[in-house]
Amino acid sequence: MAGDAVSRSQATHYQALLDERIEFQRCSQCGYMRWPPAVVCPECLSDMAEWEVVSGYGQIWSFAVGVGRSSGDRGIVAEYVLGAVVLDEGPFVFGRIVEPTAGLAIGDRVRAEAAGSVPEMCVLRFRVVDLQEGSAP
Amino acid sequence: MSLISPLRGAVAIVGVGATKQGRHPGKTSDDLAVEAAKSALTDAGITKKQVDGLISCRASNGGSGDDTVIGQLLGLNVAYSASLTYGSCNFSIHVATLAIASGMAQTVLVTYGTNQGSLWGKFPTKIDEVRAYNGSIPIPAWTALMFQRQRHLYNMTEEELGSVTVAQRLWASLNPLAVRREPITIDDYLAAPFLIDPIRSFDVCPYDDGGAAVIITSTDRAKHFRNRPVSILGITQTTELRGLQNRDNIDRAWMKKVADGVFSVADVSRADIDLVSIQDPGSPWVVQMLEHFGFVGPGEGGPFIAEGHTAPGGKLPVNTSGGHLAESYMWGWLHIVEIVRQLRGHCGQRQVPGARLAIHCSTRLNLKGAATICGVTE
Repeated sequence: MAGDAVSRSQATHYQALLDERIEFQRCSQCGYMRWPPAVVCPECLSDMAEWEVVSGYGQIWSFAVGVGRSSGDRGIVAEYVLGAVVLDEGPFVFGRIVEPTAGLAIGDRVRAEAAGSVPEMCVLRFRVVDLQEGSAP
Repeated sequence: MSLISPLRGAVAIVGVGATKQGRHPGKTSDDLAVEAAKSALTDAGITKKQVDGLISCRASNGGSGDDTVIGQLLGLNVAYSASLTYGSCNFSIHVATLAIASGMAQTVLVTYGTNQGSLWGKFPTKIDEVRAYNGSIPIPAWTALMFQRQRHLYNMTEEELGSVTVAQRLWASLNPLAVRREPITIDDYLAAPFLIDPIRSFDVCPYDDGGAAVIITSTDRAKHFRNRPVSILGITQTTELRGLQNRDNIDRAWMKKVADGVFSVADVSRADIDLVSIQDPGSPWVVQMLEHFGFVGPGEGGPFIAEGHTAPGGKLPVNTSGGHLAESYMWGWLHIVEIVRQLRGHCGQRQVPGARLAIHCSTRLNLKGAATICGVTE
């Protein structure tokens, strides 16, 4: 949000995405995985946490296909697929489903990767993978 | 133990007002809130001197809406005032109800204005922001994700979704205040391109400018006002403030808690409700709320609406003003104004015959839910 300071925990999360690592805080006291990043654990309020790189595997909860259109002076935006994904480790995250973009279904298994490179476009990308790929906890 | 609230019927709405809806170039959100407030005072037949409480609401575009600003503009030194950052109408009138019940105020003016249409343009679709999503996605994306779930869970069809807007446009065609009054057919709907697949621009409310206001007082005082008082019989809220920490951010089954709560505290059964009002930033909201509030079973909302039951002449009138989709995007404020006008019997061609009990259901995306049951007695 414009004008708001970015908390250290959020900055750490997004910096990791730029470095192509997807990591979340794991509570040192109760083991809950925090999302969004925060100063205390929303389960037990402990302020102790370790950053943990996740597998990136998850399941499509819902998705929508944005049709390309121009927006302001940023030029034409290509078709993209917005995905709402539940990661195996728990976090409910949004990002772009990049492959494939057709024939998708809720429940498809995906693997997330950090989009990297441009800070304000620093989002997750998802690729659909075989249902058996990765081991669900 | 009875769950009926001791506040049941303790307060009543005695005035409603609205500005013209659509575009107000050159006016601020606060200007429109003030204009709406004057309209409500006129409707109630009182002057501002008879108001001792003020609730205002920050506009959806982040305009002021602050009670300290609105109070100054209206020249009000009231006993109690407050402003809400998300004061979509249920949340605002609930605060007013509590203020009166506590004795902090006796007659409360509740007002809202927004110039979001002039400020932002046609549709709330900032595609680049969706694409760059890191924290918040705009209404069209929520709408599309929600309908995708309904298709997955219940095989809901595009025709069923389109019938929400078809029905509400029909209602709006009977409402002089409505911005989008041209009826559409299901073929018109299906011929429109996707805004974000699987939803079309008909499924999302465009931005509108305007204001709306409500005046609430104690039931004892209400009988001295010129209008037939519309009693607030029950108010209920719930929150899911944990937001993205929750697993269910889209289906929102937790709305059932609001439904059970409000029917209990108001001592009203679903079968007695004459008209339903649902805050509708997107058409899937209407389907989902009819199901969560128990008017139809899970997955039955789409077929029910497609069969015409919520349209004019149907057995369960829903969003009789046209709602956000067809009347105007006023964060639920005009939904309450419409309920009051219906229960007074002042709705002309779109009047629901003999309407005595109405419910307004609203949500703040995946974070909050609220409902109000209003009624009149003979």
